Amino acid sequence: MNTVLDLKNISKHFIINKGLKNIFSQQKEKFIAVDKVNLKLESKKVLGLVGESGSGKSTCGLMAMRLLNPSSGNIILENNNITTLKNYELKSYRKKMQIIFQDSYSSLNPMMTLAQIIIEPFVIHNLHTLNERQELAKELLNKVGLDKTYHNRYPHELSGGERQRVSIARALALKPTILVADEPTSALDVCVKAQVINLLHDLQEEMGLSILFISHELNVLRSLADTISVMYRGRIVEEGDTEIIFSNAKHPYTKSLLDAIPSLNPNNRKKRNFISAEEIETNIPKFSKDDVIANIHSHHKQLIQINENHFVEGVVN
Amino acid sequence: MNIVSIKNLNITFKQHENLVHAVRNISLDLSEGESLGIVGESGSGKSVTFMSLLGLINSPNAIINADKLEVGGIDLLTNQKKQLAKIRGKIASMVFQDSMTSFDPLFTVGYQIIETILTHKDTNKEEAFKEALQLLKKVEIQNPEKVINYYPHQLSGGMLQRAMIAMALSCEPKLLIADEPTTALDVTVQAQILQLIKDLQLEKNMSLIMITHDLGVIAETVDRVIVMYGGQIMENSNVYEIFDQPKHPYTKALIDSIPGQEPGKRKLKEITQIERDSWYASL
Repeated sequence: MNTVLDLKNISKHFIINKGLKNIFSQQKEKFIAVDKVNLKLESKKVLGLVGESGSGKSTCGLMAMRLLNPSSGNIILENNNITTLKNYELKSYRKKMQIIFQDSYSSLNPMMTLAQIIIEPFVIHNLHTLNERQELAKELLNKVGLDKTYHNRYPHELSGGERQRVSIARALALKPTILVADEPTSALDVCVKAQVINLLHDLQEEMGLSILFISHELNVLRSLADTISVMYRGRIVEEGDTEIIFSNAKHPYTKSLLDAIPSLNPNNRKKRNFISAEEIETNIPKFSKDDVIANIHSHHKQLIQINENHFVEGVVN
Repeated sequence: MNIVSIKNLNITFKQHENLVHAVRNISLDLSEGESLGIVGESGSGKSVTFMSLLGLINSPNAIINADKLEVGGIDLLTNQKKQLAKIRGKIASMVFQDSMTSFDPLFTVGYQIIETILTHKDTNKEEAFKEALQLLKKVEIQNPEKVINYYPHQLSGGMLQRAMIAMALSCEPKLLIADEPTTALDVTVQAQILQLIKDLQLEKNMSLIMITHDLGVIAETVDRVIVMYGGQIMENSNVYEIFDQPKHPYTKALIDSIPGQEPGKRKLKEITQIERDSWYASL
């Protein structure tokens, strides 16, 4: 298989400013948002990254795009190490990967028409003639299911679902191979959510995109992702094929996420037992030596391979 | 006794020269202790209907017409202003979707809860403070002694939503209207908040109206469901029937469009424009 984007042992530390004392002291307080994470995005696959708010999943996405610089680790894009490239060196790589943000309202410039928004990537990369750009903009609007008469409208004239389609059109303008989707459906209504998921589904097959799909909803990932990585407090605690995660989750945090999905059967109402953060940290799964295929020691806690495509953070007895 | 009784409610908004019919001929009754779920997409009129019960639609462009509009036996159609003070807080109170904008950022959470208690109850400040502390404990906020002095921006979304539930419960209302209380929250926090609302409802024998676009929330919390579309009631039945045998095609489409019900990568059910047009034609 062909890995298009490889995050190797990547970490991000944020320095917390707590007044003068911290500014002048040598030892600055650090918050570890992402802690030695390994993620591999295979060609033409969808990798789902799931976790609660504050787990570092969006930070991972931003680092993959080099919108944030990692504190340590490497980002390999199609066999090129882009971790330390300067902005002007990055420009040619930026064509290959694009991002969709959660809040389409604040990620589209309110002063620009939709045509201007979609054309902007061509302007930045100096591609095509003026006429071609106009044609391509109409084509892209059509591709994401918006009428071509929309090209003169402004973002505030659209509904949430339509705006998210414009974000997708802009992201696809440069024909990228990689798309990072940072919670693109969280702010949407159920019906609109289904439409956007279907659109991404179609585009992925049609254009052969590889998608890193970041979400806090496991059920959205079930209908879209090939593999799922579960993030908790900055680390990956479990990863595997989508159905393995759904049918055979081992880590207590993954289990609690699965348990929180509302069931659609009122007969199955249950009194939920919510587990606290301490319980998650103390109840790490234990495996006997026979279960273990390989250990990945990237960490003070180890990720154990227990099946062909299933890794869990745990200890070996 | 019915806590809410609505007969032929119409709400219309004047927009330039046009009239927008947000709610058309809605009739419903809710008895004490019953929980009712309202489902519909954005723009279906679900929020507007129940905001009218608390007199929250006071735009000069809104026209409210009804044969009967009663909350807790108080008629809302006549002498509105005086009646509203009786209803708000004591008989019915509301939890909104966006807790961040529902609290005043300039005052502490505690101050705002105490303010509510002092407005509606005949107590002094010390008593109200104690009561606010009790309420924060009740909604399972850790360290309520600290949180009572926090400003809204110091709390996470889930904590603020809990604080808002505490505020809504401060005068022991007979009816709690929850308008998409969990839409902006994480899945695990959503499950916790729903559990909390459910527990409190049973404990205090309150009536509950849960407004949402998420059928998953409905399946978890309520006894009876009303499906709204285009300002009208499409379906009104108990929660088991809605999921077993949805009668209206819109209800069925809503259920089918929820992702992740079956294994495997797949496309979801989308509601097409043709379907929409046919439903509008039948309105």
